[in-house]
Amino acid sequence: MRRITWLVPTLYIIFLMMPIYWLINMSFKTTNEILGSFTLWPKEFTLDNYITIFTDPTWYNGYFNSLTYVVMNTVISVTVALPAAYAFSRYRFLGEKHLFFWLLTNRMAPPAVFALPFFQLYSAVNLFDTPLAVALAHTLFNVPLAVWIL
Amino acid sequence: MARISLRNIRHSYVEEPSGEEDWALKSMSVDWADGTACALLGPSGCGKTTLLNIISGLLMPTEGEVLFDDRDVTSIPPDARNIAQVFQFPVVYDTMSVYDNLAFPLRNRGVDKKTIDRRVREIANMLDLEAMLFTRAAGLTADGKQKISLGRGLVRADVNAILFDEPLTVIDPHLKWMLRSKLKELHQQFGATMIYVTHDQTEALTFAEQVIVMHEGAVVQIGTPIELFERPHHTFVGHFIGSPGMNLLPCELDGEHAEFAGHSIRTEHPVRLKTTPDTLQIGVRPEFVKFAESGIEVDVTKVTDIGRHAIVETRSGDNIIRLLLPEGQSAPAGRAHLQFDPKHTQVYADGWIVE
Amino acid sequence: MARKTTNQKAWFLVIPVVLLVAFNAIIPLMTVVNYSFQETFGDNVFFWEGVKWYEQVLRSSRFHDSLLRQIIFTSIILVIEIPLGVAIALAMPKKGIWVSVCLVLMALPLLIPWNVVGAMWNIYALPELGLLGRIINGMGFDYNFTQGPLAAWFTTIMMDVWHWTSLVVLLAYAALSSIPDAYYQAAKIDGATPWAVFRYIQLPKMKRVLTIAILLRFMDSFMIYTEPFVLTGGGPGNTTTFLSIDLVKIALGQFDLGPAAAMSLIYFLIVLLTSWIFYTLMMNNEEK
Repeated sequence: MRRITWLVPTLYIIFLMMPIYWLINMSFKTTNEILGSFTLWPKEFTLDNYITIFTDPTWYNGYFNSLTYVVMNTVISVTVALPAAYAFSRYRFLGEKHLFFWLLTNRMAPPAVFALPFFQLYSAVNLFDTPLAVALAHTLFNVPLAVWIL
Repeated sequence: MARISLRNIRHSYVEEPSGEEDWALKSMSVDWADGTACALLGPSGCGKTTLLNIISGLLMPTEGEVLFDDRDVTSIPPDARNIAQVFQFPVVYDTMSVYDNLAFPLRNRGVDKKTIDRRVREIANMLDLEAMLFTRAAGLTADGKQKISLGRGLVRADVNAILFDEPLTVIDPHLKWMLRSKLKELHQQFGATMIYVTHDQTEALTFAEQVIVMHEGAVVQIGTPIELFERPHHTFVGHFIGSPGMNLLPCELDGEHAEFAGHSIRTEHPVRLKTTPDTLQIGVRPEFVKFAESGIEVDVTKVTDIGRHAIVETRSGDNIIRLLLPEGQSAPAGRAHLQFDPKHTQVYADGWIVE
Repeated sequence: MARKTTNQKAWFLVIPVVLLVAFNAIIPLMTVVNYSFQETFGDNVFFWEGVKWYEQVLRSSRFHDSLLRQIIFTSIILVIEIPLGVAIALAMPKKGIWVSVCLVLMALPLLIPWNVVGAMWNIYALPELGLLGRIINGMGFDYNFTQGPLAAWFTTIMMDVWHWTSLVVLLAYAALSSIPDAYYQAAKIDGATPWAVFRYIQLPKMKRVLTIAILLRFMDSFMIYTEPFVLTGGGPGNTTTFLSIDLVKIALGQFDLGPAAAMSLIYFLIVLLTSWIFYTLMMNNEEK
């Protein structure tokens, strides 16, 4: 009985780790090895792929943008969600439950639904194609969740 | 119902106990005759609950055996030992009604419906739960929930023993008193073996015919409430039981007599020691100390009226001696003299009574 | 839990969220509603069309198909992830260093961005180059998720299970570890079977977090876009084209703003209504 209970989480973790392992494995292989043969670990260990990423601006700009966006998103979500979460957990006020569900509904809106209007809205206020726009757009989905979890 | 015996039980929560302090329970052998109402008394952390869990089977002792009627049950799980146990904090099955909660232990054992119904109603009646039998247990107050826990412990008629782990902690004082007398009544009616863990001496002394006093994982004395009161075997018992506790005064030995503050004190037995102890004390309860014309010289420092008695605090040098003054008598002011009742004055060597 | 006090001033604390969400949600939503009733040929010239687009969408078999696929997909992943997550949480050790090791490893997939998950599974499941693809083909199955619909579904579902089961595990585990030992001890004394312990002690404790988990998984899986898009692109054919993929195809691929808007709103209403019913049911139940 004891033996079986630890087996379950172990198997699950192996299941979780396999794709990650494969991704890491691939990242250290040369293109030839990836396409040419099937190997469980890199025969020719290479850092070329990483060197490419960090030296080619088209690659690292992407990461830089992502990072800006993540930081902005977090800051906006937390600063806005924290007081609200506090209010929801401590006080009872008029329309509390309805408001809470309404916030939740925003998470229920399929991102695809908002793709177009966002495009137009942010063009209108000159925010388009800036990390702030992406961050703002994403707060729509994260803020309700942040309020809920905090 | 059964006789319960512990043989050389020792328990440690540490994997490989090395020092004395690693043992939560020090080696002990105890017997409970069939049908006793026994209290395990001691301050928190003294191992009472550990001992109780070893009896019920929730805990497997590191060493020793647990016997029910001479049958070794040490490795038998709790549900097969046929015991009931009530815990300190209420445990109720939230999604069930009060009725289902009470019926749960019976249903799990395949008791027939009629018997279940009869038992549940009996117990509910006894604990005043009848009015709420069909409400959900989740909504009840702490009192109500603990009553259900008690009820689940009492509902089975054929148990070997019922174990209580400070069951009345969360219950308010008035109800506490009532439930305690209910338990006692129940014991007299059915004669089930009951073991009751508590740190409250009043609770232990009123409930039990046998009290086991524990201190730092060891049993210091087993006896009736009167024995514990009149002849504490250890200074801990003297100090822990009684309010205020026993007076303990450092003394010297003059032949076979104890000497305190220059006075030879008459004790129950002459003092005969085999070895020289580190500490030697005279123990006398405040109930057995009286003002007299001559004796130990003291200064009266404080008088506290507690209703039928007054507690008088006196001082002899650095030592405080308390005594109980019956109603109607008044304490002399300033200097006075004290006498101890020799029949109830003992000498303790390194904490243990000298006999 | 701390007792809540009634205080209408709490609204001031909520206002920032409300404003931000309003800016982000209400304005775009109004735009979508606007589109859904109109026809445009560009240049900001609009004609009123009434409910024409709604009728068109509701009658189109294309919408029916992707909705059906969506419902089947969401049902399957809920049926797998919730019980699996609960089972793993139950089997987790209760204390010791292994607990934190397990929790950290299990939380890992949750931290990986959606598009990375899609790409990762693509590499992992490729029939020739991927580890999973190799293993399954090695077992004698003809497995190729870019060509076989069944393989595509299998991979998409595995990917979602991989990504999100941990959420259920973490929530359920948190609930389980809040159960005091005395409950298990009392159950042992009462002679409860393991099933009874689960049914009357563990499940009631997990009810609240499972409600949250089911709601989150329902909403997220119903709106799933990035992962299957990166993995299969909705193919082969249309076999893994779920609602949101279809929606983007219509809106951006074909630039049919009217139908896309109408479809968006119908889609939104479905999610909203289902979640609301579920939420209300669970909350009412809890108050009883």
